[in-house]
Amino acid sequence: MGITDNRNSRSVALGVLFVLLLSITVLFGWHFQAIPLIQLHPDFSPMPYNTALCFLLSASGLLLLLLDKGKSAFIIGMVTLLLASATLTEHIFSIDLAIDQLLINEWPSTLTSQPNRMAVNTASGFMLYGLALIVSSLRQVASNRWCSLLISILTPAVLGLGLVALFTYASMQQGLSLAHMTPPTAIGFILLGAAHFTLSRTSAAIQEHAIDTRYNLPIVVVLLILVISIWDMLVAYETNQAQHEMEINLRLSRETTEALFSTESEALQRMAMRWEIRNGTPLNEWQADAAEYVKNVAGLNAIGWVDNKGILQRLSPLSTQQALLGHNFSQNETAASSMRLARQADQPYVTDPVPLFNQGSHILVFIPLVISTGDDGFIVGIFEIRSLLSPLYNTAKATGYHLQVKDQSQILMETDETYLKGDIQWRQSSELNLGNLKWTVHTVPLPKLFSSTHTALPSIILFGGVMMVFLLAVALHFVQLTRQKQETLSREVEERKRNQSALAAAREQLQLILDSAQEGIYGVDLNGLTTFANPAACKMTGLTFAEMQGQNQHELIHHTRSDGSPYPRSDCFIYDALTSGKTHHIEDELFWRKNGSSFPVSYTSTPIRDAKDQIKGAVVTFQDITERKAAENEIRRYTRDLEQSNQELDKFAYIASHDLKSPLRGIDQLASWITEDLGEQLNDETAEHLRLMRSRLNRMERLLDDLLTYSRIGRKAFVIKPVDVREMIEGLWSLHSVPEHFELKLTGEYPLFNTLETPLEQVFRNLISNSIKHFTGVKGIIEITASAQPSGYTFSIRDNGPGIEPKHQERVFGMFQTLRSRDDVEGSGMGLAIVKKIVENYGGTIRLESDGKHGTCFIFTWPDESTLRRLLDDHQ
Amino acid sequence: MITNEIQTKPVSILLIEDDEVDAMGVERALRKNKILNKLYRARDGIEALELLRTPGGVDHPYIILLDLNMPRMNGLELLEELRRDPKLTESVVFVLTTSKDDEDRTAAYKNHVAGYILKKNVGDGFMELIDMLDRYWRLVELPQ
Repeated sequence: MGITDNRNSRSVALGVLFVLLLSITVLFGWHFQAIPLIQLHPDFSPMPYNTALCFLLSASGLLLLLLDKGKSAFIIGMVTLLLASATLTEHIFSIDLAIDQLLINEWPSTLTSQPNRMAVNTASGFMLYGLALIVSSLRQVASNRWCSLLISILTPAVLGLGLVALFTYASMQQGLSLAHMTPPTAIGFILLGAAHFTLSRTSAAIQEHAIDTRYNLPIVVVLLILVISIWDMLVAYETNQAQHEMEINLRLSRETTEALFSTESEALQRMAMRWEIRNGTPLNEWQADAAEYVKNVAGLNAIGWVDNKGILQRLSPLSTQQALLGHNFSQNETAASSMRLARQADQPYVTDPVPLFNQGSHILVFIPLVISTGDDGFIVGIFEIRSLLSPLYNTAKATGYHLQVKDQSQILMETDETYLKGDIQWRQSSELNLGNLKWTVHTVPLPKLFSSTHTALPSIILFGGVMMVFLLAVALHFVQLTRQKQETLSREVEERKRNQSALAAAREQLQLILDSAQEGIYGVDLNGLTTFANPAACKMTGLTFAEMQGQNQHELIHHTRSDGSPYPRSDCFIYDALTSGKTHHIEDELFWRKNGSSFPVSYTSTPIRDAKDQIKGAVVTFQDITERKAAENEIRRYTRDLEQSNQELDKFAYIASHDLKSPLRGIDQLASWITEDLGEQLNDETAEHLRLMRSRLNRMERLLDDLLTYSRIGRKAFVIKPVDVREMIEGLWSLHSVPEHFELKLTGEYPLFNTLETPLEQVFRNLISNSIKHFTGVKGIIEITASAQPSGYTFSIRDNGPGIEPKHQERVFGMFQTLRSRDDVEGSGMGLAIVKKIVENYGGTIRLESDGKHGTCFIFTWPDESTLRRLLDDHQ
Repeated sequence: MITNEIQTKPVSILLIEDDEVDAMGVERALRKNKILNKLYRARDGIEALELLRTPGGVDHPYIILLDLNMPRMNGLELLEELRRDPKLTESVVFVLTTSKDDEDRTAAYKNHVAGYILKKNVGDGFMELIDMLDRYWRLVELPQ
């Protein structure tokens, strides 16, 4: 969407830029009176100032929309709409609201009739576009389906208007109602419509499942406009045809009239020439001649001779206008001036209409006569206007237009049709020249004129076109619907497929899991009938799934207890899961195979619940625990053995401590008595041997004591009680009868906590006595430090004794290990071994730090109460 | 020898000890301290019970020096037997043993022994033990 958006925005901006450029150019042209800028091309009519202004406003509005400034766009749309509708009002009611000269004085008065007023269709276009701007800005505030629909209609309408104008201009059909728009204006509208449409598409929040009118509506609108414009063109063409016919007929009749009249005049002139040659034609001859003339020429009512004094002396034919004989024409001002002018120019002269014979207007043609004796009056032709103009009249009647012939002051002739002013499609005026007379012929087409040229074609095309567009719209709509349905359907199908394949995969996975599970798994429904069983379950029970399916699983494999008594279903834990909804785990029951043998199992029976938490059945997982039971028996036997050997060890320790010690003591006793009884009789060597014997006996006794202690570590239960470690160490120190040259230093924070006193005291005692025992220097310092740790305490005992070389440091914690001869330092070699065993027995660690020269530091950890209690619980 | 005016009869000693050397040690110590009190000897619990239950077997008042580890019936078993027997339950018993075991000591005191003495603490040739006993019976009123 993002890339399309950007591209769309760019093209919208481009359109806006072009229209802005166009409008600014024209406005510039108006302000600086540069006609080329207003016209843009010599062939184009100039663009009105307000049109350019509206373009400027519209383009700005679109730009604001593009920049998401809905409110400003709304205002601009309103201004455009007002301006356009005001102009339209001017057109419709033919009034001047002075908005055309609002910003610029009327200039230049060039080609068009109302040069500064925008055309009707231009105004309509701006009205539509102003509306589009308003609706768009409203939509930016509150998105609405109707707004989108309106924009989908309005913007293509503007675009279509421009297209049609351009199209009709290109086809050069004049007189089209939609063609009163210069090509730049048309292009401006096309760009505005297209840009705005694109913008509305870009920003439109088209709902996914709503009917997509994106392309249908514009297509329909443009097609509709095209159909209307074709209809308009056809109508205009037909009107043109009629107009053309009318013009030809009019011209023909006019020319006929003019030719007739000039022929008449020439004939009268010839008569005058003959008169002059014969110095006055005799009456009889003239009478016959004139009667012939009048008879042959239409419109010529009569011919007469007027003498020098202006009195009508002769008249032919006499029958019609005999009363006129003797009429003095010099008394009629019009005739008199005409006679004077004819005499002066020695040319025939035609009078303005004069009433004669009380029979409407006539015109008179005076031809001056000159004979040998001098002026001899005039030959006068009397024409009745009505009959003179009858060709015009008749043609107008036949062709079907209203005709009115006027001279400067009056209507000379008019056809009798009436028409409504609103029906006037055009007015035409032409000149009728009769000698020196110039008359004006005004024509207005009448409906009759169009009857010949008007066909049903435009209507058929309009109706058919609209119907076709409608059908197309319906078809498009259905195609759209179908496509949408198809898309939805295919989406659904795809989704279903995906779901199915996912489901299949999940099922396969599940099947694999069930198949490969080593545990037997089977399911039962609410009635306890088997619904599924995995291969392991089948294999263990010796039944096939077919044999189990729908069968009561309890009766199949769980019918008898291990003691051989029947196992009623009501007691079965598996079925209890169905009724109580509880999960049961049973460790040791029997399942029965098909062949009647049984095997011990542990099983878990879990109720299966549906989404509504209703129990739908139960799933049972079970394991053949034959091997496990055997292993358990084995373990039990080992444990028993171990316990036995431990007891034996205990016994041995006891024997070591007592039964071995008794004889030792006896020997010692006897040796002492020998010493005592022999007294002085003993020689020194024997006495020394006896002493050595007794010291070895003592050592052996101590060895046995320590061995006993060591073997009993952790086997004895002590009571946890409060122990003040500082106090305990100080007590040890004083009880130990430490030599004078030793000093005890206690540093750090000594805990007061609940623990096992005896073993902890033993550790300190052994470590302290170890330090004292091995001290070789002068002043012994034993420094004990205590510190708290996360789950216990760390104690360190540092002395300034000889230290332990790193290579011996491993060995010192071993049993019966001493670094010096027992003759030098009495010791069993068990002290540190006992310490290590005690510390480790209570989850602690012990290590020593020494460089083998400057003393030793033993560091051990001791658990706090909770750690110790957890440890003791684990041991049990 | 200091005469005891309160004591009407001299205290006799019943030594229940299977170890000949220890028995000899006690006898030696008595002899050495010139204590002439009567000394009876039993080698195990059964022998001691027989002796005690034989009328006139042991002169009253008496104190018993009891070893714990003995064949047939050991010291603790004998103690329980003594405390069960109404005639013998008043017997004053000192345990004289090599066992430092807490369990033994506790069991002994539960059966109301007068003292629990380790053989290794009695000094060379039981001298301290005899010394203590000598003072003990001079000061302590024994059941008759």
